[in-house]
Amino acid sequence: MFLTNTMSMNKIIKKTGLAASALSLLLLSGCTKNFEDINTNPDALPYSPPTNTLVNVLRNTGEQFGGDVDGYGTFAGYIVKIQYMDFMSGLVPTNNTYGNRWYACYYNNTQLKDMLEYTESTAKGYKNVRFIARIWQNYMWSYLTDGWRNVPFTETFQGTEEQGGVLRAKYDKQEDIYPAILKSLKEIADEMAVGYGDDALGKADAIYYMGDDQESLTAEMLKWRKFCNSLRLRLALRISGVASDLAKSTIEEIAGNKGKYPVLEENSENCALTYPGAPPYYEPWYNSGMIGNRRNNWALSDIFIDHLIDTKDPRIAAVALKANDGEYRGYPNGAKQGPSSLTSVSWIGDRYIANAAGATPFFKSCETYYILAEAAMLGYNVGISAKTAYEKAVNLSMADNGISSEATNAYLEGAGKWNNTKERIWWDMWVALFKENFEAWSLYRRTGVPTTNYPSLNSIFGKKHNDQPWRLPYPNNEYLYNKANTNEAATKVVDNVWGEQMWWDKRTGKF
Amino acid sequence: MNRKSIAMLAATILVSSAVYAQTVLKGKVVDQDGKPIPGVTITLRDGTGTQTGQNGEFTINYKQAGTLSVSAIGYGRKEVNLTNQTSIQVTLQSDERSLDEVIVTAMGITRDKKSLGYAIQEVKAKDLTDAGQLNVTSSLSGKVAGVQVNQFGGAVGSSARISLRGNSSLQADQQPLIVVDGVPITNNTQRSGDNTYGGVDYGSGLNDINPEDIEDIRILKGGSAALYGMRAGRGVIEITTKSGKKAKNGVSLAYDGNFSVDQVATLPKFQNLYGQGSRGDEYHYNLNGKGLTYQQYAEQNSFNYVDGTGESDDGVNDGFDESWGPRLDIGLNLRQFDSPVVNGVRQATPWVSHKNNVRDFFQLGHSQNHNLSLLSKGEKSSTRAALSYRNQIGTVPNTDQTRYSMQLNNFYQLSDKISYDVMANYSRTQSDNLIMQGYDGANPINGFIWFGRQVNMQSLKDNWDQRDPETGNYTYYNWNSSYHVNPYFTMNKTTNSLNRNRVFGKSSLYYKPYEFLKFEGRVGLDYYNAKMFQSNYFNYDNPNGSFRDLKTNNTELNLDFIATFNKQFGDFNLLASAGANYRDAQNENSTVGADALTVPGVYTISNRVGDAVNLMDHSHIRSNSIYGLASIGWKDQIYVDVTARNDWSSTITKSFFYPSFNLSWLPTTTFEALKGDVLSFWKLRFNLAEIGNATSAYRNKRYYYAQNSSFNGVAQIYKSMTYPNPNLEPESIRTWEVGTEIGLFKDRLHADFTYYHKNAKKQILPVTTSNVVGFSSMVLNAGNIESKGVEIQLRGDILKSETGVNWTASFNFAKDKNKILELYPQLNLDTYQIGWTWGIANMAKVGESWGALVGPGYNRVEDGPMKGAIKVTDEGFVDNTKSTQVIGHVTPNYMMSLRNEFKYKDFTVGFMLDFRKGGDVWSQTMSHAYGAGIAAITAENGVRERAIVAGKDVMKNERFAMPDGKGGWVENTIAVNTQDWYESGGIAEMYVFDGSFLKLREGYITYTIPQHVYGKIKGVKRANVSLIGSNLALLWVDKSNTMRIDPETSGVSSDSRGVGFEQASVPSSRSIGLKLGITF
Repeated sequence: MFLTNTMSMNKIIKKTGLAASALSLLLLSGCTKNFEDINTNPDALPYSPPTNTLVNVLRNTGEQFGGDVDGYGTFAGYIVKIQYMDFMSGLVPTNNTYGNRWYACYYNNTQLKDMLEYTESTAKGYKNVRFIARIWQNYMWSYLTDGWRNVPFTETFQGTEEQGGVLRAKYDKQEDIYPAILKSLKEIADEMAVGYGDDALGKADAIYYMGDDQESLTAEMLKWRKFCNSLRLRLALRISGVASDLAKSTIEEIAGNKGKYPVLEENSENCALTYPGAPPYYEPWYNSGMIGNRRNNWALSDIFIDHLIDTKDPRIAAVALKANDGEYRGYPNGAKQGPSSLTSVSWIGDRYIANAAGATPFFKSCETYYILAEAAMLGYNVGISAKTAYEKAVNLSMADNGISSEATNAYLEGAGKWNNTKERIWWDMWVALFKENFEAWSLYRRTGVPTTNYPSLNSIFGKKHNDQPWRLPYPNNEYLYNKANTNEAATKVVDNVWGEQMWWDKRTGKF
Repeated sequence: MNRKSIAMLAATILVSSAVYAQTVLKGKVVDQDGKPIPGVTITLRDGTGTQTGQNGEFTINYKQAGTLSVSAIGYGRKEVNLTNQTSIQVTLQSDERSLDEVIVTAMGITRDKKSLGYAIQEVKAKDLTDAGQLNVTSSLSGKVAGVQVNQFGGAVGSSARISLRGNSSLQADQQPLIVVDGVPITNNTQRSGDNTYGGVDYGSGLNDINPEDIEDIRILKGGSAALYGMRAGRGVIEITTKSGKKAKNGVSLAYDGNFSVDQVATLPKFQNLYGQGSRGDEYHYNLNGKGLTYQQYAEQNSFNYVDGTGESDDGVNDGFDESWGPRLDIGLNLRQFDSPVVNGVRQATPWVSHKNNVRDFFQLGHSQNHNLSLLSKGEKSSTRAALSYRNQIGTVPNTDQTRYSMQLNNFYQLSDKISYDVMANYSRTQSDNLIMQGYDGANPINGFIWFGRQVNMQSLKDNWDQRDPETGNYTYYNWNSSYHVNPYFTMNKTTNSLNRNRVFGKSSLYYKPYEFLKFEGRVGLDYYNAKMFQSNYFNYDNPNGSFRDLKTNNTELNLDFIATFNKQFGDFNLLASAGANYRDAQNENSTVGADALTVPGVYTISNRVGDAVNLMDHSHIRSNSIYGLASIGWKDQIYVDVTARNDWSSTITKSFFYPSFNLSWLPTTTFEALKGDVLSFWKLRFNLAEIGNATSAYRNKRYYYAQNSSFNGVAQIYKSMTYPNPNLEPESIRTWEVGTEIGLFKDRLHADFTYYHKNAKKQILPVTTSNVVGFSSMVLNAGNIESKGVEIQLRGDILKSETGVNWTASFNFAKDKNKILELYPQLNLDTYQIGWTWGIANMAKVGESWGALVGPGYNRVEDGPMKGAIKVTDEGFVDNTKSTQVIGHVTPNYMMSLRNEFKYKDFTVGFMLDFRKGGDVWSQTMSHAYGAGIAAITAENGVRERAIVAGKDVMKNERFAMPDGKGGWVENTIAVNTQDWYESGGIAEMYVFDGSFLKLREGYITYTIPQHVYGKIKGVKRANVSLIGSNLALLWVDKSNTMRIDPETSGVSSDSRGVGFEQASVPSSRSIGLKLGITF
């Protein structure tokens, strides 16, 4: 019995063991083979059609940069807080606010680069969308360098293993980035001068869409071409004080051959993103001011309102609301506290904040003429006198603000009368740039206009700094994940936003 | 011969297939009282064996003289020398309880507790339900060493976060695996929102189980969970539901129910000296009120209500939602939101405090829980069927939750070899309204943080639905009309409903060809379908209304096949088990909604303005596993276990192997001499294991996604900014633990000590990268988190008496100390963000413990005589120019709890104290309540009557230093005013409090009605009545918790992302009630 019993035991163990292993083999061979399918996300897409990438990027740019009210708006001397004073305490490395704008630029260029790579082998069939993508890439670079001066440029987008695994990109100098952007934009302009493509953009061209026919497409592409050249004008003039040769040659090339290098000249050509005006896409100022009920968080600054009153500028009615006593009244930047009656000061005007389907401007056509006016003053050969260009600019800006030609003429006869100074151009350009706050801030940093601009009266930095910020703080993520390069780039930076001026900022006496 | 005996005989014959030269032994095994013991294992030296039947009898053939080993779970083993007997009676002594307790371990394998090489802690039905806790998570709080249960606030149906042995994962969800009767079920915390600021908390999946249906809960904290492999890294909570298996033969019907009232218990501490407005205090009056009476100053400069918008021309600060206004209760008369309007002119009314205005908002909630259960047991089958109804009315007006559930457990022994069981659980949980949590316009709690302390809540309650007689529209009557909506309006018109149906259950077929061999085939299912509807009539975040219709479907199917072998070979006992598992988990979510509506209050897609909000999300995971266990026990004193599991998962390309090793030794059995009056039991144990944490679906490819909305009708598509990892692995946790269990004084004092060590490596990190590289995060396996910890459980029958007072106390202590050793040095990555809100991050930082709060902190003087002092600016405010730093640690230093139960005759009194030391919390309530001047601290010690100096008048426990003008630092003497100090001088570090607490968690007084009382009523077998209470009192908090906020509440997220943050949380409530139990 003992023997038999043991034998049966063994059998049982053998049998069950065999059964178990057979079962498990069956299980595994049968069920791991479709694991690949199971682990493929059914809610995702395998690729993006190029126009769908484009519309995402354009909308994102508009929301990010158009959403700014009291950041660059305050730096530019336009807008102040009348509740929740921050006394410049927000100018620290963070991934929000300015960090978001940084991210948006690199995000957009990641998407555009991917689109260009995706269409590389079929470039001919995607000629138009590729032109726009390349223009927008350069526009993003200009945002980045004007905001942060030295930024990662040449070593970017190489993080994946296939592209070299560069996870910590070095920073390039603004001095090198500007010429590179200008070079790239010239290449695009030259290529566009040869001819456009056949690929339709449709409503994916969220900026210039006119219609689905061939005629509309050609007109749209012409506007993009104009934007490309106008952008070249903007960037060239900005470096006129530090790289006059490049500035001069660029501006003269464009102004001297408008047939080959057309520029934005009419308000109907303004480069601006118009929003559908319904959820989720309201114009960003409307969204925070009206939907978010924060219109009463802001007033126009005394710097701005005082200037508009002094110059009897009719645009005041467009940019500002009257205070409760019927007067226009600005409020100081960084007052200890807000006015006890919020309506005792001028808020942002309806034209700018109360239109759900409003727009975020990227380049107003009047800028072309302010630039040409200044270029003429610099002695560049631009084929137009400074006075003519200035007056054309003012007329465009006034019309853009819905101001009658009578009122415009009165202004041009009055305080706005051409006086043959660059200051006259700058002051008026400053008024015209309202809502293009980032550009206005750059104008201030380059020219010092408005000369009445001042930083928060109750800055947390005390008297350590006497100027508005010169730059934006690098995002916290750069300090965390690209530490050595960021620290090196920030060597001269003091208190995150001062210490080192833009390459093109030659103002003195500011700190 | 009855059928049982025939079967027994047949089994015997089968085993001993050759019959010759044998002696037939007939025997009976009884206990010390002479009652037969069924299921006793009888083994001969040669390995043959049998078991006793229901009557305790057995028959076995033996060939030669030798020893007969008789053993049964719960009894001491006995060896009998066989010479030539043909009949025998064996008496077994029942053992000390801890020595021979049996316990169900991982994968449902029943073991002698003494054989386990790891700590396993059980919570029994009685402990769960004594105090009438309504859900499993709260009933577990404080009852197990090393288990931290964070119940999120006092809202009805809110979720809880459970962590076992601290936090060792950087993933958002790191709750333990929940297994019910051997079948894993999901414990998703269902929550809408962004996990940064707010959302609606729809509760924890675990709470779909009725505590009354639970037999016991076992917590597998470390390596004990190794058999669960890839899903075991966070530990396992195993639940056994009540069944009829252990019942007495017959049928009984039981009713258990309770009713309790819930009262809001931990309200933040507010000031009641100053009302709404700005610069209305004595300090500002003295400064600016030249020539004016205080009354004139107050109405002209501080507060004068017109329409609450702040935009009217005559109003003074009337849109200002802060309480820096004029002093209350000194006879001032001011125009207020509820002042009468006579002929179009608002009349000033007395400016008086309403100290309990926030408390007045909350109502007396109540809850009731009724359970009816049927137990039936016969020769072959046992059944338990239970029906229950639970209803809760929240302390927040118009919030509720109802749950209906059904539970069925059936076991049927078809023959000696074949049996099956079925467990089925159905529950339906529904709420008409649950409160929106966190910093959201629809959470009324925010309106009490930004508040006018003078506001009369009754006016808001009486007029919330006021309508304009001309237009018929709501007037949104409120104390403020620029940021806040009347809290009653919100709770009545902006509602979040829930309707969840859940079914989970399993069925097993058992085949037992031999006494020592058993096969089990099992199918387990967990399915739920949840519908959530969030509507928003109006608030300042959603002025045009909004809604979301959310649907979730979740299915998890588990198929298991398990073979178990258990046999005694002489001195050796061999237990072996092998199994295979197939798991398929699918989840789908869909959302439909709108962010603006044409007609207010109509929540349909056709009523939307603009684009509809549409979302679809799916997840599908499949895995296959094989696992096995082998355990050898020698003479009931040394046990060695080896377990192994291999997992194949669709989420990961490689397969993974998880081994464990356990050793248990009972010196008191090996050396009988050790046993005495003092030492009755001693066990040493050791466990070594590797376990894992799996990953979610779809992390190995880079995809493109479309934004939720198109722009001008064109889809917006983008490439994911996450760089995927095709070679992702599960997290790997290597852990070992040593422990000992000691029973003293006949086990009246029982102690269990554990020391564990674990290294959690290959953390799955969606690491943020510099975003200039073509992506902004990449998924990595990296890092090393080390945790060491101690767990102590003590239980004492301190007083034991047949007739007098019995006192049993149990004590749990746990300390988990962890440290991030490494994250990803290849990228210089030394910080990783776990959670974030309001600019404060909960970080894993190399060298720090899990959960370092990082945010703007004090800038302290680094050297010199003022070293350590907080720097102030030239203006006397806290210098906040220093960039972020560590301002707190969210991990508690240690936790302990003490449970006491006293019995005297028919009365039982019990209570539990719960203590936590440490665990910092950044509080949005504090942050905003300081700034808004409503926190008690903003008006203490006359600080609003005079200028103040930091360090002397406020924050007296800190030194402050001001610049000496020469680059150095001297004692601060700069005077500031209190409003500016709190309104604009604050810094994140100021709002971090030490989350230590002492709570009276629960208590009960039970009267077991003596039989002679109810004996007259026909059929009643048991009756008891209890006075129950839970969350009874927050007895103590740390001084830094100036507003006395419940440190366990949250408001940001229900998972790891919310740990260490408090945000406009719903105050917890205290429940007191009656519990009744009757069995027929």
